[in-house]
Parts: sequence; structure tokens; C-alpha cells
Amino acid sequence: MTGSQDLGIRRARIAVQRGMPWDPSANASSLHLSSNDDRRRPVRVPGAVLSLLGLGKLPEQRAAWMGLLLAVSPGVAYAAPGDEPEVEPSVSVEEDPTDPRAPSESEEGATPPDEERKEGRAEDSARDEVEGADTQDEVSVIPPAVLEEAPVELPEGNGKSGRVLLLVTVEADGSVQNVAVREGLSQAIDDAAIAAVRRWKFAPATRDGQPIAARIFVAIAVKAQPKPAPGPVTSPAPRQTPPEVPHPVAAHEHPDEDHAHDDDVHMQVTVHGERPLRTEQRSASDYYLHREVLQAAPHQEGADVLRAAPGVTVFRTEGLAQAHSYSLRGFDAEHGQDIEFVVGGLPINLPSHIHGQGYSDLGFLLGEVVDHVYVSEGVSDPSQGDFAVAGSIKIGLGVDEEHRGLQVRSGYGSFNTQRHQLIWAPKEAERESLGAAQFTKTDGFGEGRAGQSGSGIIQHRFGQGDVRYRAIGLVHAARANVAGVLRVDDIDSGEVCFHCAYPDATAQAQSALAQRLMAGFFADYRGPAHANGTFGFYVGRDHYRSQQNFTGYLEKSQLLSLVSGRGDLIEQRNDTTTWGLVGRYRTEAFEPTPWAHGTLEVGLDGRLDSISQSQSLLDGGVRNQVWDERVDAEITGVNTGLWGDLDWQFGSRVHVRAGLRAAALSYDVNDRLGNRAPSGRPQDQALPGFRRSAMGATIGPRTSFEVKALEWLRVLGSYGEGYRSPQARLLQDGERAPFAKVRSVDGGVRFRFGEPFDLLVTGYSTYLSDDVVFDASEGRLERVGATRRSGAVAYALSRPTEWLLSSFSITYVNTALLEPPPATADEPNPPFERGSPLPFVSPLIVRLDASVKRTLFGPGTRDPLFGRAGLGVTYLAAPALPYNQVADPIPLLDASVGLLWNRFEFDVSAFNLLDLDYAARQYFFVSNWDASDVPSRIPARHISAGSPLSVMATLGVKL
Amino acid sequence: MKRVLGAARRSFLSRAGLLWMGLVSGGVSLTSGLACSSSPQDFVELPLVARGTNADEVQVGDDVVLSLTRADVAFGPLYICAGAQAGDHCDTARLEWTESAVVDALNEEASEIGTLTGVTGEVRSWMFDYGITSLLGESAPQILPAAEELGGVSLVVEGVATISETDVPFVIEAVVRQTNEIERGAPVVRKSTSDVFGGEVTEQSSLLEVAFDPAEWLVSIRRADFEAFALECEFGVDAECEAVSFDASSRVGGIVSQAMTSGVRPTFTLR
Repeated sequence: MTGSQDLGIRRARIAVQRGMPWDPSANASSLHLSSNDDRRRPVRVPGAVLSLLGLGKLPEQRAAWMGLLLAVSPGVAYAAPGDEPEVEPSVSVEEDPTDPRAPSESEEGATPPDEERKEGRAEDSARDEVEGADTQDEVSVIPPAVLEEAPVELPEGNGKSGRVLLLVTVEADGSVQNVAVREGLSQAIDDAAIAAVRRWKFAPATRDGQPIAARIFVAIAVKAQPKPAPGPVTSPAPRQTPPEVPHPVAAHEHPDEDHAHDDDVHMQVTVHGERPLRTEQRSASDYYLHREVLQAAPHQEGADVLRAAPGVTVFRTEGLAQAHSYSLRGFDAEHGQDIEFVVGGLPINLPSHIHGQGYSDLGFLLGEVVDHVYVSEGVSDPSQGDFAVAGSIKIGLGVDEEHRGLQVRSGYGSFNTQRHQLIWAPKEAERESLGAAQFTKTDGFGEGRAGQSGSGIIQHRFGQGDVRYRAIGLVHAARANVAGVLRVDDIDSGEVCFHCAYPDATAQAQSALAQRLMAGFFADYRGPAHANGTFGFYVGRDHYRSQQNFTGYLEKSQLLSLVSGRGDLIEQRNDTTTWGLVGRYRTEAFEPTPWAHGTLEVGLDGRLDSISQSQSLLDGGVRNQVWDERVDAEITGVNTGLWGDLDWQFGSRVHVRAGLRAAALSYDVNDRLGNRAPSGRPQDQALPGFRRSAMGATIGPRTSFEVKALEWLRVLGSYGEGYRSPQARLLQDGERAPFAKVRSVDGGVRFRFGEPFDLLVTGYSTYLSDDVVFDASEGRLERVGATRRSGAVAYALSRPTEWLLSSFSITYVNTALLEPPPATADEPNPPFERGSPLPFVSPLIVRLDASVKRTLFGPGTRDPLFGRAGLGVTYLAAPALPYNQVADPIPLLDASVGLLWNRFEFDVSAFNLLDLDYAARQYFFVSNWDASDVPSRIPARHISAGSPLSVMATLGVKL
Repeated sequence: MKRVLGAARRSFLSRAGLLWMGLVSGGVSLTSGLACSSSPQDFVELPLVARGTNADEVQVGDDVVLSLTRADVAFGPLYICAGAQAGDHCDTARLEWTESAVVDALNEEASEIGTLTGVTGEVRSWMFDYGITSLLGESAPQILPAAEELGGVSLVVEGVATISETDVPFVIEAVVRQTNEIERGAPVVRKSTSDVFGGEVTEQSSLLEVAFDPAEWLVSIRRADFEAFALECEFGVDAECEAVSFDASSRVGGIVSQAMTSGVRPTFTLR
């Protein structure tokens, strides 16, 4: 314990537990207590999430004490029972979420421990934390009270003393549902304590008179009884004779009759913050999206939840087995080249992937187990690593209390689509502990789109004390046909329908396969005075294979002189084995002067990737016969990053973070096809092969500041330099600058009105030294030189009532190619001109997510019937295309309605409700899909069709 | 306190509504503004006109004159390229005409034979076929309708060769087609450095004219090619000489084919 303070009220004591964010001695927080004689005292709790631990020191002869710690959130369940009639746990806490002395979240993407992120409150507090809801609204909540208790039957000869701390869920009906051991003594004692508490009956917590579920801590003190002798608690006496056990003082019917008013009774209050281990919100462009916002609009797949983030688009353009196409505020991230993806602490991007740098397949993700998403747009955090060019998206996994247990969900919908999910989140375990599996099968919404996928995720948080652990594993496999692209003029002329595929064998043979296994182990340390750290390692194995034809019949074999025109069915194979580690440590808070305090943090991350990749041309009409080879390479890459971060607050209004990140990347490339003689020439002069190595280093600042101008207004600014690793296969021997460097500046204001409305307005600009865009002729990304993006984002979150939640964002960006490749003899008609807008980037993205949830029948009853509805609206203004062309805008409307009753839920979701024919992806290049006619060499518009109206009905049962 | 909070909430609601409306209207304004802000590379369609020459006599050597009565050329497809070199460097063309037409090379009146489609921008080279084109996926070149009209050849020339006052009617056929020595899938005839061509295709461009001069393809024919036939005509029993036919596989056909490919080629003019 640290930060204890005597209040002088019958030795009342307020303490902040070690590692907790709130420090009563700090200016940033305050806490007030007052008297109240009620045993079940109403608690007024502000927006900041907190927990109160009431500990009653019981009479010696009982040799036990207990406490309740209640964790609640604004509008959920806050309670602070204590046994001090003089002490009224009417608590008002105001804390500064930007206090650098705050403890931190585990590593990236992980949710804080349960003790800080209790049921329900994580979402709300997360909103507080990130979306600017430092609400000052107070909520009147009455905590649960014990009505009926059962004794703890300790094992005979118990020789241990100490405390068993249990985390208990008291449901709205007063029953005990979940009991988890947070601090234990031995298996036998823990089991005995659990068994006893499970038999307890409570008066449920209430809010505004309505019973609600709450989660509390029950601490049971145990005293060693080495000799089996009659006595309280530790007595081995007949098991039928219950030992005397501690009682929840504040809730006991007759506290005066036993221990509640012992002179030594004191109340201990522990304030638990919601703040993550690291300050994630560093700039005006950082967003924390909690589960409620993510789940507001319907989603077909887990990755669709990312659409709720401002400026983020997610589309399936190449079937179920290939990564989505992402974009983030002006960056066409393709399959992930510009966005650093982290899921549960596991980095998802694959460097030097044959299908695209930073390839990130989120097909394994189940939206139902996504607990929160950090979206850092821009570069301002030194922990942001490779591929954090447009920004970082860190996804935390977890299942909240409401959904814990065993869930089975099955859905069936349009195009014979089936989706079956099994989610297991043990009730006694922590929020982050879960297992989930999903199987999806579909015939697809048109020709060439059938596919199936299966995935599983396991995550477990365990351990006690200062160091706690988290293990995570995921496995994913998918295979799907790919319809490919269609020429718009062919669609217009009726040669092929919008959702069809070309009938040629080379087009019908398009498909993809994805296989991935990842596992990681992380340890989180919470030390004194806010010191904290993380260490973890992970391994991964990814296999990718695709065969796709973008251009029809244009290719000629480079190895066989007389072979050409057999269809441009490009096969790509990529195998990556990854070994990586992460580590960081944050010092205790240092306060050299009363007006300044802060911490220093250092971190290290590194990974080794062993990559094998190839690209060939197949003849889809002749059993995929290989008729040309384009790439056959082995790559070994090591990426090491080292960073430091000063996180300091000056006075109560100015917060500055200054960091530095250095990185070194090295590559060894064995290009087996390099230096190969052109077709028609003898190969006897040398063996093909081009072996080379390269290494480079980069260093850049990551800084940000925040000024709390008013209670509800903060001004933020940031500047950072990030990088993206190169496609190693394109490096020359000894090349020393293998980085694309990005410079990102953000500035904005955050209006924190709290509920019901928050608003962020941000302006930003980024410069990227070496950008890449998709080249259809190669089916991969190619360099286009330096680029610039400038724009603005407005994001609003509104909860005007308890049952309505909506978020709305507008992202505008202006882009320009600064140094596109000039015309050359080989490319006399380059697709890009200096100053032209970046292709595939929508200059305006508008997104609305909204949800309502209300009791339809039987409010206040044990099993009310809830109704809910969700809405997702997306508008993407027309993006630019190569050759200065402009694509079509994309408007999308998704909606869902559902019912929840008891353990059952039923949802019907409709996607593309307006049934618009829209192109999920648009291209502009030369193709020829009629091998028997004179080919066209004029670039033409192509599309990859998006899904028409599709409906999915899902039935879920919670067991 | 609760009343105060309630009032604050209502106040926030009204402010939230106003801000929300502002955001939406702002977004709509931006969207509509952006719709007009881009400047795409313009698609253009350009008439393709062809003309021949009225020079219907060709001096071959010192004492052979070819008087032409017919010179039909199968022409197409045609690609106009941005780079200085066509062929492999013209995977992406600026303008194209993927059809074919028979051009009367003895008619100096320009006539429209088709429409070029493409995009605006600089053009510096061209490549085309004489009605017989090579496709990537086919080992044998494809005979387009214009060549079919001429009996499967690229050029048909008819006329009378006058050798020492003896007239020898003749018919020459030539075929220009892709061979193994020529890259498959690319047009055979490509602009060389000696050919003059260039310009900027704009929306104001009015046409592209291609002019043929078949005489240039015949100048390499030798007197010896007609001598034997001239003797037949001079001393033959028939009152009239039968027309001498030089098919594509003949030496004369080969000479003409070679001249059409790498000799003096048509001239292209962008207007």
C-alpha cells in the first residue's frame, strides 16, 4: 500500500493500492468522504472509474476480516460498503487521466487487469479515458448487501494465515454468479472460500432504485491453526459445524452485535483507476473505442468493428482467405502496409510479404471478443513500430461480465452463409480470459466467391501480486475462391454481370488459402509508485497462397521464349516464421518540484522473420501448369527497435511527452531467379541467383503535448517520425536506407463534455518519403515515391440517453504525389503525375455508428425482454485512380435488430440495405480478357464488386 | 443536484444536436465540393482517316515502269504510344484502334476508316499491323476482316509492268505477319527513329491521318522479275498476256512485304 492517509474518523484510512493510478497526495486527484449512518449507503460516483474496498477489522476471536470492493462505472454499479457509520462512502473522485504517474496497461492491446476493469465499467471508463468523457455527472448507487451468509469450511489442520481475496459477481437478483480468486492461500482454502461465498445471498446493488449486477471483492482473512482444535475459522471440528467467518460488515443485519463496531474497525478505501499501464492517448488523433461503440453497428466479420474508428475503412475485396483492404485517413493501406496492427499484444503485420508489405489478415478475429480498440492515427508514441505510417490499431481481447460463460451462436443468411461461434469465457476468470472458435462457410454473393474459414483464439490472464501473466494463442485457416476484377466496360456491355466472374479458366481458377498460428506469453509488472513494465515473447507461422488474375491475357513467359498468353494467373506463395519479443519498463514517478512530476519509460522490441516466397504464372486451363516464374526468394529479416519516453506533467494543466525511437533492420536475400539469362539465351554462362544483404537504421522523435485549457477543453499537438520497412526483395546489395520514413504532425482540440456528448476536431499532415501503391500487372505493391497528406477529422460521440449511443466522424484528406516515377523508355506512359492525388484514397470518409437498447417487456423483472437495434452508415467520396481517373463514391447502410431474453439472443442484420451495386475496390489499368481478339492497350476501369444486400439471422444461447 | 444535472444534460443535448447538424452539413458540403475538384486525364475519341497517293506509276530500274491500277492495303490494328519506342514499351497506349480496314492506297482523298479511342497526352510513336495480327495466346497470327477481304493478305497491288514497250499485267500480294523472330503479341510495324511523328493529343485534336504510298514498296522489284513474263507476252500466241501473279510466297511478294515492314512506312499526322 502506498499513499495512505488517516482521516481521523475511528481510524478510517484511505489508501491507494500499489500500482493503482490514484494518489491522494497528487494534485490530479481528490477524494472526499462524509458520514452516513446507513449501512447500505448510497454512493455518488463520478465518471472516473473507481472501486472501493471496505475492510472491517473483526474481533480477534473471529480472526477474520473481510471487505468488499466494488467496482462500478458511471451508470453501472458502484458501491462502497464499510462498517464505519461515521464514514459515509459518498465518494467523489476526480482524477486526471493524463497523470503520468498513472500505472499502465499491460502491453499493447491488452486490457488492464480485472481489478481495474470490471464488468461494465471498462467500457464506460474507456470512453472516459479516450473519448473525452471525463464526466462529472454523479450517479447514485446503492451497493449490494449480504442477506445470508454461509460459513467457510476450512480444511483440517490448516496451517496458513493470510487473506483470500475473491472477486464476486452479485447479480441483479442477489445471487452469486461468478467467484474468482484474486489472492489465494492454498487450493484447499481457496476452494473452501469459494464454496462458502457461492452460498451467500445478497441484496443486489441498485441504481436509481433498479437492481443491477455488481462486482465486488470479498476478502476473507484466515488464521493458522496448526493443531486441530476447536476454534473459529480454522477449526477442524465437524464440518457440519460452520466456523465463524467474517461478515460483510457494512451489510450485516446486526453489525453492532458482532464485529462491526469494534474499536479497531477501520475503513480502508482503495481507489482503482481505469487508466492503462501506458498513456495511450498521446495526441488529438488517438481514439479509444470501447466495446459498446464497436458493437453498435452490425458487422459481418470481426475486422468490421474497425469501421467505427474515424477515417478507417475495411473491405473484403479478394475473398474470405485474403486480408481485408484497409485505409486510414488518407493512406490506402491495402492489406496493412501503412497500419501497425496488434491483436492481444501480437503483431499481425507480416514484413516483406509477397502480396503486400505489412500484410495483415484479421480473418481470425471474432468481433464478439474484441474488448476495445486503440486507434492511434499518426505517429506520436515511441512504442509504435514498423508499419505505423498512417497509425496503429491495437485490438484488445476480452469478454465482459455480461457475456461471460459459454456462448453458442449460429447464424444463417444470404448466399447460404453459415457462421457458427463458440465463445467460452469462464465466469470465475478475468475479463481477458477467453476461448473462442468460429467456423464460416458461404457460397458467396456471386460467382467465384465460395469459401470457408475456421479460427480459434485462446487467451488467459493469470497470476497474482506484482507480476501477472497473460498467454494468448490464435489459429486460423481459410480457403476461398476469388472472383477477381471485372472491366467496367464489359459490365456495361453486358458481357459479364456485376457480381459475376469471367468465364475463362484462368479467371475461374482464382483462389486463396491462408493459414496462421501465433502464440505469445506476456508478463506485466506493477511496482510501487506507478512503476510498471511488460515483457513478452511470441512466435508465429503464416502460410499464404493465392492465384489471381488481374489483367487477363497480357503476360509472356520470361523463361520460355515461345510461351505467352496462357492467362495471367499469378500464383503467390509466402511462408513466414516469426520469433519476437517485447519489453518495456516505466520508472516510478519522479517529482523534483511540486509543480512537475513524471516518469521515464524505456522499451525494446525485436523480431526475426524467416520468409520464403515465390511468384509464378499458372495456366488455369491445364491443371495449374506453371509456365513462368517471376520470384523465388528466401529472406531473413531482423527488426530491432529501442525507444525511450519521458512523460511529464507541469502544473495541473500542461502535459508533455517526449520520446525517441531508434530502429535497425537487416536483411539477407537469396533471390534464386536473379541474374537469370533472358529467354532464348543459353543458361550455361552462370547459374541464376542474386544473393545480397542490406541493413539500415533510423531514428526519430515522438513528441506530444496537451494543455488543459478548460475543464472541458484540451488542446493537443504532436509530431512524430515513423517508418515502414522495405520489401526486402527489392533491396540492392549493401543498400543502406531501407526505410520509408513518415513525418506526422497533428493538432487539435478535444471537447470533453462527458456524457452525453464529446467532440474532437483534429488537423493533421503527413509526409512519406517512399510510398507504394498496388500494381495490377504484378499483383503487388510498387514504389511511387514521396507523398503528402493533409486533412482534418471531426469525431463526435453522443449518448443522449441510457439506451442510445452513437458516434459520428468525418475525415477529410488532401493527398499529392510529390515525386512519382518519371516516364522512362520502359514506362513512357506512367500512371502517376507529379501533384496528382494518391490513388485509391477517398478524400472524404463519413461514418455513423448508432445503437439503441431498451427493455421491451417486463422491466424490473427477473427476465426482461430487451430489444436492440444497430445502424452503420458509411460514405466514401470518390477516390482517385491511376492516370488521373476518378472512381465512384461508395455509400453503404447496414442495420440490425435483435432481441435478448434470459439466455437467448436473436439478431437479424442486413448489410448494404439499399442493395446498391458498389465496387469495394476500383482500379485503372490495362487488361485483355478476350484472348481471341485484338487486345486493348488503353487503361480501363476495373472493379472488385462489393456485396449486394445480404441478410444474416443469428441465434445465440448463453449457457 | 439532480435537477441541475438534468438541466445540464438537456443543455448538452441541444448543443450536441447543433454540433451534430453542423458536422453533417459540413460533411455534405465537403463531399459536393470534392466531386468537382479533380482533373482527370480525359478520354478522347479521334477520327482515323487514311489516304493514298495519286502517283500511280513506279519506275523500277532504268526501263521498267509499273502502272498501278489497284493498291489495296489491309490496315489495323493501330496503337499510338506515349514513348519514343513502341513494341514492348507500349504495353499501355495513348490511343488505339483495334479494328482493321482496307485502304485504297491509290486514292489521295482522305477517308475515315475508324475511330481512335484513348486518353489525352503526348504521343511519340506508333505501331500497327497490316490486317494480320499476332495474339499472345495463339501461335498463328490472326487474319482480321480487312485482310480477309483481300484474300488473306496484307496488300494487293495490280497493274501493268512495261518492259521495253511490252506490257505485262501483274498482281502482287504481300503478307506482313508475325514470325518467330518477331515478338509474339506485338504489332509488327513500329515507328523507327527515322520516322517523324509526335504531338499532343488534346480534346481539341481533330484527327489522325495515315498516308500510304505503295510505290515505295515496289521500287525494290527488279527487271528480272518481269523479264521472263515479258518475253512470254511479246512472243506468246495469245493476243493478250495473262496477268502475272506474284503471291505472298514469291520473291516479289517477299520483297514487298519486307519493304512494307522495314522500308518506307506510312506517315502519321496528328491534327
